[in-house]
Amino acid sequence: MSLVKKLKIHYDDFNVEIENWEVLDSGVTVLWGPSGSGKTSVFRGLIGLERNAQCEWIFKNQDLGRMSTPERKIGVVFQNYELFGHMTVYQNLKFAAQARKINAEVYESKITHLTKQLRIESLKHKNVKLLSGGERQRAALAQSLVGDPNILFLDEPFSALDEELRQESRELVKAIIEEYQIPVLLITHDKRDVDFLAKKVTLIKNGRIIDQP
Amino acid sequence: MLGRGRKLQNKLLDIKKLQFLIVTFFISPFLILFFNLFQPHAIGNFDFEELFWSLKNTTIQACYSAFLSMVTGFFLSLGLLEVANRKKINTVVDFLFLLPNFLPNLFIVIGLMNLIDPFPMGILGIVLVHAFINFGFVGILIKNLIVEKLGRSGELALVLGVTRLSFIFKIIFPQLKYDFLRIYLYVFTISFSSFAIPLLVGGGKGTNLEVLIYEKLRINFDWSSALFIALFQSMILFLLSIGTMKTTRFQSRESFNLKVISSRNFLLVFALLYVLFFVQYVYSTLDGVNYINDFFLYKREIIKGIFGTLALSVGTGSLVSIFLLLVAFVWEKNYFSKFMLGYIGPSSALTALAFFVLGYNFSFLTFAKILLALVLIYSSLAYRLGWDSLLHDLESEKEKAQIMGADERLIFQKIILPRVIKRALFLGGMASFWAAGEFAISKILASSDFSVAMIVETFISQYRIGLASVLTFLVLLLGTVVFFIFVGVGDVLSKKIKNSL
Amino acid sequence: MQQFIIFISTIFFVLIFSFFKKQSSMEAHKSVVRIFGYSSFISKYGPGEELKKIFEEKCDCQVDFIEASDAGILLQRVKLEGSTLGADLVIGFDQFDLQKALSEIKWRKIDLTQIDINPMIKGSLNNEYFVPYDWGVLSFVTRKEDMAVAPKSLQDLLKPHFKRKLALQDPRTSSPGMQFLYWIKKSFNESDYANFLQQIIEQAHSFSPSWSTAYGLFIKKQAPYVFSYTTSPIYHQIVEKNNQYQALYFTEKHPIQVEFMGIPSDCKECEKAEDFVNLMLTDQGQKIIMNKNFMYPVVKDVVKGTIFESNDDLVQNTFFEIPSVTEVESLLKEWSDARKGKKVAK
Repeated sequence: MSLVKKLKIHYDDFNVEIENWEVLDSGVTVLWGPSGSGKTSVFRGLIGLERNAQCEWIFKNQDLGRMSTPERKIGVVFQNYELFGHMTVYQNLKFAAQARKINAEVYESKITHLTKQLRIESLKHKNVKLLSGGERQRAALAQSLVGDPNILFLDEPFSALDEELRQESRELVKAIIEEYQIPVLLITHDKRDVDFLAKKVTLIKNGRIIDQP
Repeated sequence: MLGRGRKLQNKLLDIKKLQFLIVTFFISPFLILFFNLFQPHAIGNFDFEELFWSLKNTTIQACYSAFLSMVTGFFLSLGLLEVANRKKINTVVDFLFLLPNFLPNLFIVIGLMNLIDPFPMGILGIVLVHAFINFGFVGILIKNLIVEKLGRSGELALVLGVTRLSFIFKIIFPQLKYDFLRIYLYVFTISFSSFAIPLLVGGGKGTNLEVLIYEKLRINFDWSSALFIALFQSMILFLLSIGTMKTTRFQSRESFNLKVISSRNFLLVFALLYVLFFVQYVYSTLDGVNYINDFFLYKREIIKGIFGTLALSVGTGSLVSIFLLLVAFVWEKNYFSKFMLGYIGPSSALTALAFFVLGYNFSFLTFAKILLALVLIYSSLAYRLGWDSLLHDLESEKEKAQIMGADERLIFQKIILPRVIKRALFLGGMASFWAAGEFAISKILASSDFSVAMIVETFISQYRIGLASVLTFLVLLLGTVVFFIFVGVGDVLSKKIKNSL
Repeated sequence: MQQFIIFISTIFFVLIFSFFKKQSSMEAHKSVVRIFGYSSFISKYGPGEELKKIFEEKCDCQVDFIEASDAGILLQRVKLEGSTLGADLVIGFDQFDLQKALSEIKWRKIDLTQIDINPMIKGSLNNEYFVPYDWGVLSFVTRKEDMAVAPKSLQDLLKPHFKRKLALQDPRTSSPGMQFLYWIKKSFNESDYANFLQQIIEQAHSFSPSWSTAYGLFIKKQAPYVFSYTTSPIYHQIVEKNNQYQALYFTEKHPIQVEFMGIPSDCKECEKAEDFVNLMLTDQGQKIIMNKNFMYPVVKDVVKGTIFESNDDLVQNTFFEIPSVTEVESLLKEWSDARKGKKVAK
């Protein structure tokens, strides 16, 4: 169990204030709430993209809140499956591995494994601009995992996909999480994501946690 | 009757015709001069050797100037990113770094000469002055590009633990190379057509095409050769700009965390350079305070000048904003967009003389002509400062709306206008800022000094340099006030329009 | 918001309207004499305003000054506008513009025999169209603290001590710049002239686009010597009560710049224009020009008993000539060649 304390983010017309929040260190913790409830702000706050000097986040005996973003070693899949637009899938993954200073032999085999597992092997040398939504999502997931993250953050990972693809995608994500045994923070407003993946659900509204079983 | 009205409206709104009219407006100085004053036989004994020698010098000066401006501007942009998310501080800092764009050349040169002693005359001197004038501007452009186009990538890179150097070389340079090329060309163009600086600090060797044009006009009365050189200059710049017509897309979010490359140290270094320059500047103008009696002696003229500056500045800014909106309305990815990006106006002397030749010159009409000449010059600059890429970005949304059956007016009102109004007013504000300090065109067209900037020039030509340097502060103040009014009105209008959708 | 925009627009239009109202209301009645001149002469801070006031009191007419930034642009304007709106008098071109002005614009003959001219510039009357109204002698000006080592001849300027210390003007864009070029042309034989030109290009601090810029560099202590008018120190003496500036005496004869005025042949108020010319040549008119323009009066003896009489020594060692168009063009060609590092054609 990891503990988030005093996560406070202030915008002109909106504030997020979380005094205490427990995030599981195995399985999927879901932050669930309607749009505009502050989910993405919490997500960005935990990654270290928003200024919140007082925040503490004790994860495996370390205070991630005191660390810079790269030091936190979080794997992230952004809502729009952000990838570097001028690179191929392979180049994106390689770039992410190099950023974590993983040596070439190791990352080559990791990339082979991940692309196979996520069914993007045949797309490896395709520019990411040419990928479909589902393909982009899998490429972004592979990119987030290639650097051996401590925890995986997924921001509305299925919302941009077609209805038919969504369930298939959920199953794939679940399989990956189980294989890698990595804790996940999932942000969603879709009840079906919660039902299918959640080990713990936290409800957020108006920037405050209102239900934490 | 109603049918006729609509027909007329449709006629007026005919996009292709409007595009043609705008293009005609931009090339009008060339056309006017060509039909009024061009005599082919005058070109017969044209000194091509002189032309190519000037071209060589001008090109070398412009190449290095643009390069140094880009390098320093890039490092400045890393500093500026440090405050990019703090809206108010960001606006003020941006504004401060724009100031050298605005001060009279003489004061910039004197300030730099005090700072760098001995000042290197020659090409290095020209390059240093051009870079000092432009690097703030370049830095702001690059910062905006990084935020707008690579904001998300910057956050992803931060999360992935990418280093600053790696982000610069593997993400920024490959992604923004066309944008950089375009900014490079922008500074190149500015330096290419700079007039006073190559003469002033070029030592014995400084010369350029603009001086050649001026010489033909002033000494030889040779309009034909002047026009020929101006056309030649514009064609070269147009051809160069073809290489920079590709662009990357903007992203929608306004603030991103760009810690991956932002650097407080760079901000501090450049701020220090600025403080040093302005302390020198203020110090060297302090002796002007001794002439405070002169100030009272000429208070009527100065007060009149303040009103004139405000009228010119507000008028130019408003017209440039409206003109940019008109361009947005008719913008299509065809010859029009290519023309707009490649177009470089003739020198201020030629533009002013062309408008002068056209029709009568008295009171209102003269003022209108000055406004038109400034709109012509500033809106083509503003177009290159982000208006073009903004319109490129809205293209797909425009297409989508067209498929849905929306007509041009609806698309403009509901899709384009809400997205561009703020920028139109910002660029209009920049134009008003430039207009406040303008004197070259006004001096040729107007029959007496009507703005503070013109009075400053006259004072300088009458030994009253101290008083003139004090008055430049007044010009700066007026330009600043009008600029911020435009930015404010832009904010309010943008909110209003978005709320009314 | 709408109210705000209406408010701003109203202010804007009131500003413009009030700005031009005065001009247009006056245009309605009274005959108008249109006088073209460069800005420092006809602006409120130059002699123009006072002359206008005196003239309007007598003539029952209105004087409209039309301003141009320099003599080159001035003649362009007259050429373009003279035939439509009319130009009654043009003030402010020097001997280098004279021949060009004659070839580009038709002028009305003026009787110059009555002028009691200062003998120093007698040559300026060798034409039928242009009336001289003031003149100046050009030399280097410096501060007293730099006097001890000051140059005494053109050749001295090439000494290492003066390297990067001379603020000069570009002859293509500035008439003092042209005067300097003409000065060295007249002071040396052909081959020495060519050598001197090559060397002075390397030696100078800068070649400014205008006299005012070069003078600005001097005033702001960027260059200790500036090529200017020998009357420049008088400005500082009278206006700033500052005696530290001084014009330098050279062994070579110093060049004289004479400023002229002329009446275009398509003038509309020709008689009144002549009256204005006559006013400028009265003792009163000449004194106004002298005191506001800081140039010598053309009429003999007006200068007597004034501060302008003081550097008479220097004034005696001068020359005045009106160069032909081809002479001016070949001077500029030589200048361009010298800048390119080419040997000047002899």
